[in-house]
Amino acid sequence: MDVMMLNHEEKDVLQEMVNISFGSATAIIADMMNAFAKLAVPSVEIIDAKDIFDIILEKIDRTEKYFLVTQMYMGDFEGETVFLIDYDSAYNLASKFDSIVMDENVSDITLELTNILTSSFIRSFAELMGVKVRFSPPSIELISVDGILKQHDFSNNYSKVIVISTLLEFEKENIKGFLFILMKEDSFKLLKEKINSMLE
Amino acid sequence: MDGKDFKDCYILDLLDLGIAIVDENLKIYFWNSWLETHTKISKEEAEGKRLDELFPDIDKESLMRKIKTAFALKSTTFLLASVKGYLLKIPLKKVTNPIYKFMQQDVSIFPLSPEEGLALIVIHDQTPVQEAQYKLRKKIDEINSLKAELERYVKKIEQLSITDSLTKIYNRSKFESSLDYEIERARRYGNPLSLIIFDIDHFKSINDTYGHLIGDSVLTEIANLVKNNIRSTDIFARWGGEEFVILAPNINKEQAKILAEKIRKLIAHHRFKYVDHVTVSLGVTEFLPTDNKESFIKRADEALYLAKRKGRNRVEVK
Repeated sequence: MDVMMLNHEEKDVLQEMVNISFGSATAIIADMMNAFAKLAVPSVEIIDAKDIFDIILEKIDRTEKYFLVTQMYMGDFEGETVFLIDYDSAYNLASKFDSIVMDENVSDITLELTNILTSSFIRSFAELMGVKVRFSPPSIELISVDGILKQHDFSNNYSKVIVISTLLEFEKENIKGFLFILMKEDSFKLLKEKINSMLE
Repeated sequence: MDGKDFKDCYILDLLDLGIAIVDENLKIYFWNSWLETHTKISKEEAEGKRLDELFPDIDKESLMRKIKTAFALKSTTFLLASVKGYLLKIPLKKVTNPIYKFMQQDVSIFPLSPEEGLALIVIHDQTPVQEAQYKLRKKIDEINSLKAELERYVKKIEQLSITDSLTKIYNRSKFESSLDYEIERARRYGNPLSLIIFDIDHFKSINDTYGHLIGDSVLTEIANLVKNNIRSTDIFARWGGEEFVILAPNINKEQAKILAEKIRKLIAHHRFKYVDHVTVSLGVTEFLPTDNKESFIKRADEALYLAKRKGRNRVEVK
């Protein structure tokens, strides 16, 4: 059995964990927006960290500008989350809160959305594993895809990535984002171990 | 900590951070000494009041939302100096090179006691970091603008190094490097390559009669005439003095002769600005497999010499 892979059954458990976390994230987002919001069942993939840029290029439009939000999570389960959302989606989201949308508000709302998604997932993973995690303050930048490829190297420090593609439907507008949960080797092994204990 | 009495939280007064405990409606239950020092609002004045009463400019909606989210998530929410600048408007007193008027703050909001509806607000002074980043960004902008200027100069220098200063067509150096390249291509792909050399008939007498300035204007007029009547793939250059060259890829000497005739007629029928009548003589040749650069040019030169000998204002092919 390859310790750095998930088999079919393990993937099913992971998908279920993601679905549950997403349920609570949706409720918080809907509450935050004070309106009905629906999150489509997210698609989940597990990839090697070295393939992250291929996946980014596959999923997003090279000509668009994206908000890139990164946040570290620390403890027994360690790594980094990367959330990518295109500017138009972020702007649509911000326009639900402010009648006059300023760039700083677009960034701030994007940070909040990221924080909700990141915390919901990581916390539920940590709870499952019986470990505590802390979050560092996030950082946000508006960047082109080429900028991401040039300025960021996620493959060096991490071994595995859970890729979660999200689609938030809100008042007929689609807000599309991608969450990448980057994990160190030990954290991935711990996650796999806990998933297996759930299967027993 | 007993209920909502935080009088004994003296440790929080020792920290070099702003710490406040508030409820969902922003009512203040604890105000540490860092906040007293920086806001000039004492514990007694602050505790019991609402944050938005003390700071009317505060983004109340956003802060209340972040507190609510922290409770729902049972996790920290954040407000970043790089995005919002600050939560509490605290004027800065720095007089040497101030960049910001107000203290730049990173703010973390912890769900202290969701049951009691209490949140812990922690404020980090990020002004030095933001100032350093601001200066760095400015330097990067300066470097980028210098880089763009340098690129413009390099482009200009490159252009000047291949351009004849009088006629603005290619100079001899550019022609010779193009000749090497086109000979290599002709050899590799077996495509024809032709060369036309021409010079102005009796140019010396134009100079002697009308002066050098008029002579220069004739050279420029001829350059413009020819430039506008050849293909974009042809390389047209001033060879020196009153001599010009056209390197014509992918055409044989018969086709090149037609082109040369066209140029001859064009010039012969042109009404020059200061001179009544100007003609040119042209020599044409085609690159042969046995040729090198020198033999190719020499043969075109011989054809030109023949055209001169046979009476000028004509085309000869060799």
